[in-house]
Amino acid sequence: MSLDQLIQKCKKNDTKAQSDLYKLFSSKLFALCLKYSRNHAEAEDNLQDAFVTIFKKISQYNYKGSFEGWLKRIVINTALQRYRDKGVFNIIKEEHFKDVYVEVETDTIDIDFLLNSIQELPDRYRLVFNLYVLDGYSHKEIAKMLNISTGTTKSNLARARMILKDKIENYKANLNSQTL
Amino acid sequence: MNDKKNIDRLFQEKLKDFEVTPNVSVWENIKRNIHPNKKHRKVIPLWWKIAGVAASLLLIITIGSYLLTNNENNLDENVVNTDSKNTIENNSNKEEKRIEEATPDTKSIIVDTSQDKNNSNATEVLNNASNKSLQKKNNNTSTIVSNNEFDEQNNNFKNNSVKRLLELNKDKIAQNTISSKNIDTLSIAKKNNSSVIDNKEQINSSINDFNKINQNTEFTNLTPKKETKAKITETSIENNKKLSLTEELAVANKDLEDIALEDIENRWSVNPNIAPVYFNSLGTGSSINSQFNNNSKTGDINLSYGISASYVINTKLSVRTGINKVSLGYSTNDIVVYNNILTVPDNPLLRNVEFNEQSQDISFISLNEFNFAQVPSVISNRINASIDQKLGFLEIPIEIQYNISNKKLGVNAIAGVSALFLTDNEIFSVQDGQTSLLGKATNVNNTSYSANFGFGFDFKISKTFNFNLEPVFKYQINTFNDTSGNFRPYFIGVYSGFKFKF
Repeated sequence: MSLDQLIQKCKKNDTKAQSDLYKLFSSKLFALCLKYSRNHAEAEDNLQDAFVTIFKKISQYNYKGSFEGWLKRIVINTALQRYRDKGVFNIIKEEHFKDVYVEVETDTIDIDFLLNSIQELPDRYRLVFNLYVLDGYSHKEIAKMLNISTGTTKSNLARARMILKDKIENYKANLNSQTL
Repeated sequence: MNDKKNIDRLFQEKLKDFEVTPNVSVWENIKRNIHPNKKHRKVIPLWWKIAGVAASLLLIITIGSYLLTNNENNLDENVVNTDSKNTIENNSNKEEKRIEEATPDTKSIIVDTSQDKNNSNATEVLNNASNKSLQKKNNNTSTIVSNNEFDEQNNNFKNNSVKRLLELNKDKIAQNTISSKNIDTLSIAKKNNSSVIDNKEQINSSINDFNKINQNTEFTNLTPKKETKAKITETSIENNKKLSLTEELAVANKDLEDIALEDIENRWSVNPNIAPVYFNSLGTGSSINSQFNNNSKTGDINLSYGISASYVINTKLSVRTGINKVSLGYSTNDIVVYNNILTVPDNPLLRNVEFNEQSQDISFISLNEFNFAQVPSVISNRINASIDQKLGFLEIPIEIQYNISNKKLGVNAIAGVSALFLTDNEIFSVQDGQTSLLGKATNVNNTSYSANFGFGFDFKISKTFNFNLEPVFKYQINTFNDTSGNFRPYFIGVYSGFKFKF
């Protein structure tokens, strides 16, 4: 069955097709949720909410653009909605950082460590970093999505990069001290 | 090797094909969220419960029949054992020599027994004696003997064995009887073991007996006790199982009810209906005139049609009302009709009939009133006419329906009352196939009532569309204000129609 047929069946609220669609995309979308969430439990909640939205709104999907892209947008929106509801966007005291080019040594970095580093970022830094670096949104788009200025998103991104760089360097230092 | 890399690219590359399988519970939650009305969870347990009910019934029947047949088998075993007793006796003759070795012991113990008047003690000792002889034959016999002891509660056996064992004193050959008797008691023990399953108390008492016996004798084989305990545990486990099954049944029934309660979706329904109605009277009597009390009456089959609306209160009860046009009629037979040429003033006119002008000079006499010899030839050719009374009502029923069965074919009981408003009131005379209007009855009330009882059958065609058939008996109250004799009118209608639920 092609993806289009599967989508067609999902539009008819076919339970089997919905299950198949979930199996097809849940791993990828769960990874996305993990990046945008503070922890595993929150990621599961987001995935659940996102899929409920997906199945409710799948009839609105008009086959324009990639389906996976459509799914990802829903997942990201769900994740953002959580913070919009909680109002965390405005909590952080604004500090302005210049956009810097951060370089790190990259060998032997564990993927779980990277994920944890992202999850440990303050909520908005994490969201901005994810949106800009991993999902290719522009500062303009991010500013709109998070209802903040582009200056703030740029500053947040710079700060996120700095934090991540420190974490990676600490991690490396620990690793080296262990091997020594 | 330390590659310096942009931190963005590091994350992009590392997390590009990052996939994690989420927990199964996530999908379960999603499914429940997107299909909240799907009764997956409900339907399956319902089937499970029905299957559970069937299985538990099957289990109870199986256990029951097993216990019954088991008892029969034990009886058979005993019979077989009695037969085998002879062969054992024969066989044991060969072993006489070996038994002889045991005899001195036995004798000495039996001397003790005769001194001791206590029957049970004697039996114990004697059993020990027989035990010894048996041990020579079979090493495993100790258990059997213990079973034998366990059976000491059986007085018949006690006496028998005591008698037999006393005979043993005199004759060595009697030893054979003892050994065979022991084998025999083995079967009795078996029987008792099986009956143990049936009766817990019996086990307890036998345990007590057994313990007493154990105290009285030096016999210390614990095996049977353990066995008995095991049996008790089995029995209690079985009892527990039965209890839990009963609970499950109760739960299943409750759930069935719950589900049924939740299933009321369309509380309102309309039901256009049509029915042939048959009108007649329960007693003898006449609504027209006392002279027709004993005349035969023939009920007419007429028509009732209308529409009703019903409201479902719960799965069992619904109320309904509606409006129906009902035509009723009956004929009073065996009437002599004649033109009252003579215009006799005291001519018996019909008391309850208001005649129209054309019919003023017609007279009626019940055929029962005079004998045929008296019948004047003028009127003899007009014999066997009848008077037909036709009534029309608007009926407004208020009825309660009680569901007896709610399956594909629903069965319900109907009870209620109807108010009947008179719309048509005519009396005809019918003779030689000719009908002529006489006038109208004066004794019919404009408003009357009926008590209604009936049954309804609903054939569910779809969820919202039923075909129904309802034979209903309606006993009329206060229809006539002045009837002669014991005139108790009723009508029966078989209402059929389609019910639309919404």
